[in-house]
Amino acid sequence: MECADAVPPGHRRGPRGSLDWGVVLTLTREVGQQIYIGDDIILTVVSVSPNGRVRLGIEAPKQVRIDRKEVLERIREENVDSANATPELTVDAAAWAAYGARRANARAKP
Amino acid sequence: MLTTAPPITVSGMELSFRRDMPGFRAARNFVLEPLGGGGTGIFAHLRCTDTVYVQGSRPIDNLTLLVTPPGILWRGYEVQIDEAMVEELQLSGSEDAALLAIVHPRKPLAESTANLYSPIVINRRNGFADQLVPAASEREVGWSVRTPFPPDTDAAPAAH
Repeated sequence: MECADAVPPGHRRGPRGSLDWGVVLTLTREVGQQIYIGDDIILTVVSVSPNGRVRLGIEAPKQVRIDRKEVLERIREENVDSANATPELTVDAAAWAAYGARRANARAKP
Repeated sequence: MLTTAPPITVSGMELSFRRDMPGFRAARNFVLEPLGGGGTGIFAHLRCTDTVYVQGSRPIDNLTLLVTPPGILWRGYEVQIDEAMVEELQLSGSEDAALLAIVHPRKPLAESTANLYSPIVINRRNGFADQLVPAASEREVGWSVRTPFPPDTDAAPAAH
C-alpha cells in the first residue's frame, strides 16, 4: 500500500489509512483498574496470567463493533483476495452456472 | 442458532450492508445476481453498486464477488448468530435469515475455496446484510476462510 500523503506532526495513519489519528497513548494499569475511551466505552483489565495472557473486559454501546484484530484482518485479506480473483475467473459466468447446476443436481439425488 | 434451510436456490435481490464489508471501505449496497437461469444454479455474483476503496486509498470500480449459499455444498452447515447481529439485521426468526459464503475462485473450478468461517448473513425480508466476524478462532469454529469445495463425485472425467 502506498503512503504518498505526508503525515502531519503529532498524527499517524489509522488502521484504515485515515489521517485523523492522534498520538498513541501508552499507560500502565493494574488488574481491576479501568480506562474510559470516549464517554461510554470502559476497558477493564480482568486478569493477567503468569504466561502473559491478559483478559480484558470491554463495556461499550451495542453499535460499537469489537473484533479481534487478527480475525478481522484475515477476513479483510480473504475478501480482497477473492475479489481480485473473481473478475478473470467469473468472466466465464456460464461455466460457473453450469458447474452450479450440476452440483445442485448431484445434491438433489438421494 | 440459525441454520440454512435447504433447498436454497439463489434469487436476485438488493442487499444493504449495515457496515462496510471488511476490506472495502464504503461497500454498502450490493445486487445479488444468480448465475444461470431457472433457479438451477447455486452461484451468484454479488456486485457492489457503490464506489469502493481498498484500505482507504485506492478506489476500485465494479467490485464483484462470487458467492454461494453454503448449506448446499456443505450439508448441515450452520453458524451462531449473536443477539447484536439479530438486532442489527432486524431478524425476527431463522426463516428470515439466509447465508452466503464468498467464493475464492480458482482453476479448475473444483479447486476453489469458500469462506465458511465468516459468511454473509442476510435478512431476506428487508435485504439487510452483514458479514459475520466470529468471536472464536477458525480452529474453534471448525471452518476456514479457505474451505475447499467438497469432492465432486459426479464430476465427468476430463471436465476441464
